[in-house]
Amino acid sequence: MFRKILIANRGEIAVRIISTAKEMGIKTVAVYSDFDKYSLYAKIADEAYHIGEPQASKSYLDGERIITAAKKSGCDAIHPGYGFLSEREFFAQMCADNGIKFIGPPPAAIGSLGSKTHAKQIAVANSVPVVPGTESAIKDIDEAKSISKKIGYPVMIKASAGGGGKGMRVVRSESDLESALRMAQNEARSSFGDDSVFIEKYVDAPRHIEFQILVDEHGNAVHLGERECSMQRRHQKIIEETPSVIMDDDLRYRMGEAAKRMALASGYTNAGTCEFMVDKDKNFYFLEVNTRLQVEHPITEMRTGIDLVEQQLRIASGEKLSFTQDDVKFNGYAIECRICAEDPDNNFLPSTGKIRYLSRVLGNGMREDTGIEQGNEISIYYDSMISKLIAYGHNRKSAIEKMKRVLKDYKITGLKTNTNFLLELLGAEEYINGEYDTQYVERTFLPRHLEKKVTIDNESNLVLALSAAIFKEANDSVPENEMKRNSKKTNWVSQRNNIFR
Amino acid sequence: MKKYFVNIDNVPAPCEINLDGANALTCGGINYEYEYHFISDGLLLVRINGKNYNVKIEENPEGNSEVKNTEFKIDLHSGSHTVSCKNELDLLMEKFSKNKSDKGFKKDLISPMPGAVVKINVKEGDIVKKGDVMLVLEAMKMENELKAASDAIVDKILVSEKKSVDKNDILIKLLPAEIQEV
Repeated sequence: MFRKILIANRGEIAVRIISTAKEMGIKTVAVYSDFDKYSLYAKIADEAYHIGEPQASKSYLDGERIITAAKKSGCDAIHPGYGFLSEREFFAQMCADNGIKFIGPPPAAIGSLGSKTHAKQIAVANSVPVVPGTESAIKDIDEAKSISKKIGYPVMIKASAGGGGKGMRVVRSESDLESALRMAQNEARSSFGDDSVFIEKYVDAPRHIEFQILVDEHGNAVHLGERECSMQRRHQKIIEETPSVIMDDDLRYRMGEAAKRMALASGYTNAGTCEFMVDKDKNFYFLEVNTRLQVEHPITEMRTGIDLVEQQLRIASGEKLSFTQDDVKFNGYAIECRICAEDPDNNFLPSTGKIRYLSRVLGNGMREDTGIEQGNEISIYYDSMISKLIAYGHNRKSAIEKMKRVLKDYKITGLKTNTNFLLELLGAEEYINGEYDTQYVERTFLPRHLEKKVTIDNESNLVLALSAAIFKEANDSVPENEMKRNSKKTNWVSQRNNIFR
Repeated sequence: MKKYFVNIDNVPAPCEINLDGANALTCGGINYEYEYHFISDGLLLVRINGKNYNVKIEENPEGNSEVKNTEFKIDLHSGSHTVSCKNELDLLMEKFSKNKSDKGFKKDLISPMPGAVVKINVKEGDIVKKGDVMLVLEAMKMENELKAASDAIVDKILVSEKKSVDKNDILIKLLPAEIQEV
């Protein structure tokens, strides 16, 4: 087993990896940009090294600087987390060239699976079903036009190196193609440093179901069941759950085997995720293999009792899987919600700022993975996720009720979050019945959410009226010369007035 | 005794709030005891007759009253409400402040966050319709489309493509669309 590992990432996933490593007696090394000097993960690691400026391209995406820090620390291995360099073949190769173990698949497997066009060829060769589309990156708009015409609109433009919804655009007619292509390429370039995109047929209203796989370096592969990730907006996952309400033993077996075939055929090792689209008739199509740990991996951990980071470390250090497919037991029900700094009432614009207050009540059956503390700032440099809440219950209803309870008492001030939006989603009839697909939020939920008339009872009327009066009076009592320029200051001043009253 | 006139989601509340001093209030002729505590800026615990309510409150940035500190946005029980709360002085001030003709018109396109301008879809003098995408702003690795909040004429464009902007920077100055027709 490794003696010391470096985590080439930040935020909650760095905290997550450090935690398991500590439990296994492995020393941990954090790397940080100017922005993250005193972030939670950089404080709890055994060692921490500065690697550059807040812009990811000048720190977390700079392989050279990370390798330099790794050498300085004398670590044996690097865990890339998700995002940043986790799916970059060149970085895995750099690690190998410097005698440092990359905790993930071999560079060649990242290369062939990370490119969706290659991955598709592997799928076809191994009787894993795929949707029609291009087999190589799009060269220009003319090629995009002729291909889209051939496979028929709607089509989807996708970043070859993509993930997490970045660099993806649905195009429903030729007139929208050029601007969508440009936007997808721009996003792909700024997020992944690679602007190649491809086009495929867009399957309307599919479910997004993915399988967690573990493959050791001795040719053994298991799957750890599915994750239902259909609750999405603009291809960003919002709520994930396992098991999927549409899953049956036969479908799980066939999809799980397909996922394993993909991994073994591509020389894959370590943890990975095979994503599928599932249409209304339960036909499944291979989407892509994410050659890394997923954001939503905790729901699988809750349901199987298997620590995925521990398995990653064991596999990377050369151990054989200590269990077979038959040993994997699935229990209970797990849901994850991503709490993000965004404003659902204003087109989900990212909300930046300092978290002035943070309070939550977790309790039985709740897990929170976060790298954020009160006083931290959510900046424009990194993504807007504040926290992941994972509820575990003996059935779906109990998990949902736990999640709702925690969301209701999850209090953050200083920026806007999507907690109310999540609560509304969890309470939607379609969600409760499990009748949703990847387009549900945009097609059905959001229009209804915007139309929604809130009826207020007498009790709420009283509370709202009194709250406004209290807040107003506190603001009015601010002396003229301290009159605020922005609401933040006023609130602060009024709070202080309250204390002295 | 302080008297407040309250509108909730643009409907007059069935109660005028009378704050009677320390811990008592009357609403619709009924007396209540209350206390409150600012947990944090804009996070308020209100306890009415022993019952707890957690509310999130801020001055409503989209409020269009001429009188300051009268319009609020309040989250209660995971629902969001716009509340206007005016005392007698506010009502008086409102009476004297002149009526604006461009009611509901949002003057400028303001940057909602720090980011970089990717694309500007309009030029000066253009007429835009509510919902038109005027500008694309990149922040947090995502491209965000900024749309016109109401029909308007593009008066002046203050930024250029690739330029970095800060939160609350004015990006595009707008005029009400009606002027054109005069």
